[in-house]
Amino acid sequence: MKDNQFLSVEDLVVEYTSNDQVIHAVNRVSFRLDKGQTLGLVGETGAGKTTIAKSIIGILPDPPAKVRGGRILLEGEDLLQLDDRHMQKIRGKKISMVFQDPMTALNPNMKVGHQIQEVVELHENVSRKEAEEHAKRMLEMVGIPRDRFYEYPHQFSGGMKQRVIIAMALACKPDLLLADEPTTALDVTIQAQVLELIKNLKVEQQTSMILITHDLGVVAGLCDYVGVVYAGEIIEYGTLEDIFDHPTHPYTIGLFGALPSMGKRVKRLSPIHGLPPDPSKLPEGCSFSPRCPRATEACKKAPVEMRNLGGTHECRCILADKPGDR
Amino acid sequence: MINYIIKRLLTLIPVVIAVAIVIFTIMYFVPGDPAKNILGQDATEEQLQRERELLGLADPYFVQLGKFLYQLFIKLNPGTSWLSGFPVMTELRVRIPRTLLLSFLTMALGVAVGIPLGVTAAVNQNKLPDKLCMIGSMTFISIPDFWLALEAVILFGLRLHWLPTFGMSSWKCWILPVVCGSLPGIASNARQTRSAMLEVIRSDYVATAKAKGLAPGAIKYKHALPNALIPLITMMGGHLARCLGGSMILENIFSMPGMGMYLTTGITQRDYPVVRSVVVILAIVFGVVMVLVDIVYAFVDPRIKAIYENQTFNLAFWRKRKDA
Repeated sequence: MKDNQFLSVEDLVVEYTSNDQVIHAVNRVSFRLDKGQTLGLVGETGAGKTTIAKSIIGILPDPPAKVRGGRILLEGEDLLQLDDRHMQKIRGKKISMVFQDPMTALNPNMKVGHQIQEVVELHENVSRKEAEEHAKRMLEMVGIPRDRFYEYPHQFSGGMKQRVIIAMALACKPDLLLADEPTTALDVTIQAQVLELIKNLKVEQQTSMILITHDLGVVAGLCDYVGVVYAGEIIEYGTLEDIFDHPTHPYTIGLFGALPSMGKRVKRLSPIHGLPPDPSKLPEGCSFSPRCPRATEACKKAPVEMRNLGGTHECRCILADKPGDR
Repeated sequence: MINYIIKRLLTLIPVVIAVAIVIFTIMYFVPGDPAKNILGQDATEEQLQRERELLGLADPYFVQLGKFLYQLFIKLNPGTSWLSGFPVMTELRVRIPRTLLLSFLTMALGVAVGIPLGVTAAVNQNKLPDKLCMIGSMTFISIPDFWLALEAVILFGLRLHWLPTFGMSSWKCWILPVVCGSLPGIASNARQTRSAMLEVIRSDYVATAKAKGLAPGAIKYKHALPNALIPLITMMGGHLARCLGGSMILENIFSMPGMGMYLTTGITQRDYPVVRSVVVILAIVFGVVMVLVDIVYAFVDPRIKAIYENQTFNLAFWRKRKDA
């Protein structure tokens, strides 16, 4: 029955080990994604969003990171069970990734065109000439003149580098694009351009996408589904409407409370007090309970299971209301 | 780029002249009497005095210096060896290629073995290959190469009779000197490569390369190593200097008639023309290598090339402004 599911991540657990200390970066994360759809993962820095993406594409730095459990099924095939050779064929072809910082994500010693051409030659059965031509077309597609093929990254601005990276990621028409904060390092006008570009290319190529960001505005503009990540767990999951119109978890509510709104006049934004828990010493119960304004004794005793609130809307909070109570 | 190279080569001239003056002065003040070395212990004081005047040693310091610089740089004739009576130039013409070959072979082996070892150590950080590599390199850095060479002569030459231990009559003669000479180089190259690679291997573009689906070998040698090369090339200049210096020792141990042997016999016998010209030649070789290193930088790193090209651009710009 799950065979037609495009991507499904089940109970993913990732740990980092450093100096005999175990850091629980990702704890039992599960989500599903259909073809052509976009999932937004939002959360604070260090919540484990990038680790989730890196474990899907299989480039976690090992050591120190280690996948301790779970399954990542891409079209029914468990990526965690595949050997290196097999994964190399999937990386760049079926799954590709756009990294956070365009300044450092390109090899400074290689012509940008060749960096795109390289991935084409690797995965497509084409001649060197055709690969070069394809790379030039990709450059044009992201709005860079094709004669800049022979230039080096230091001759490009940050926004252009990010476009090169996007061209590289999309060169082999991947089924799944992992975009790890693709706009964080860019200024606002370039952000808009890059987002528009990703949006158009995604529609053109029918690519599914996981978009990692802490910008709720970006999520609203691009995503179909949203997962809110806190301390390595997805604490709330649902469609864009579920999350934006009916935020249920106190953390999600807190996130929206900390966001200035154009429509309403608010004297003060309400921040979430405290800091995320130390991932090497996670609380026994709900990981948000130390900061939660509504926490009870029961919250601190045992881990909270995901509860279905109707449809696809799920929440990891024992106080979450039943769908009828909304 | 061309302008830059010419500029760098021109700066070599004062350096070489300074080296010539320094080595002349050192030899001037070194105790020992060349005349006595030439004529032997039985020579009378009058004979010695005549010999000294003949060699020009009786002149004041500045006169001697002037004559030396004039002969060397204007007439390009370093004179004749006082002891053998052969022109130094003829000797050098035969000996320089030998020493250079020995140094370059030593260095090439050091690079060809040291860098892959360092890369292997870096990608297996804190695992067994890394630890073996680091312990091995620490050992060979610490062992003086002349001692190693002597031990090798005893083992492979005298005990096992595998390899010849002196001369340069066949290619076999080169094995022991080159291997012994390159071991410390291999060791230090491996360590330097390892630390340079460790820095690069954590960088984002290596993660990008991995995310593209490249095989580990391609990631290491196509994406990581070229970016780790800059510190390695810097080191390479110093490495060649060490190989040139080391060849002095190796030539003596393995009785290879190169510049090193020429220089050391020249020093012990106070054969001033030999010592001075060999040192000046070495200074020129070393200076040229350093310029080469700078040029290689530009080919390895496009960013550095851009800086050089800007310099020549600025130069052209400045000329144009001057003309206007």
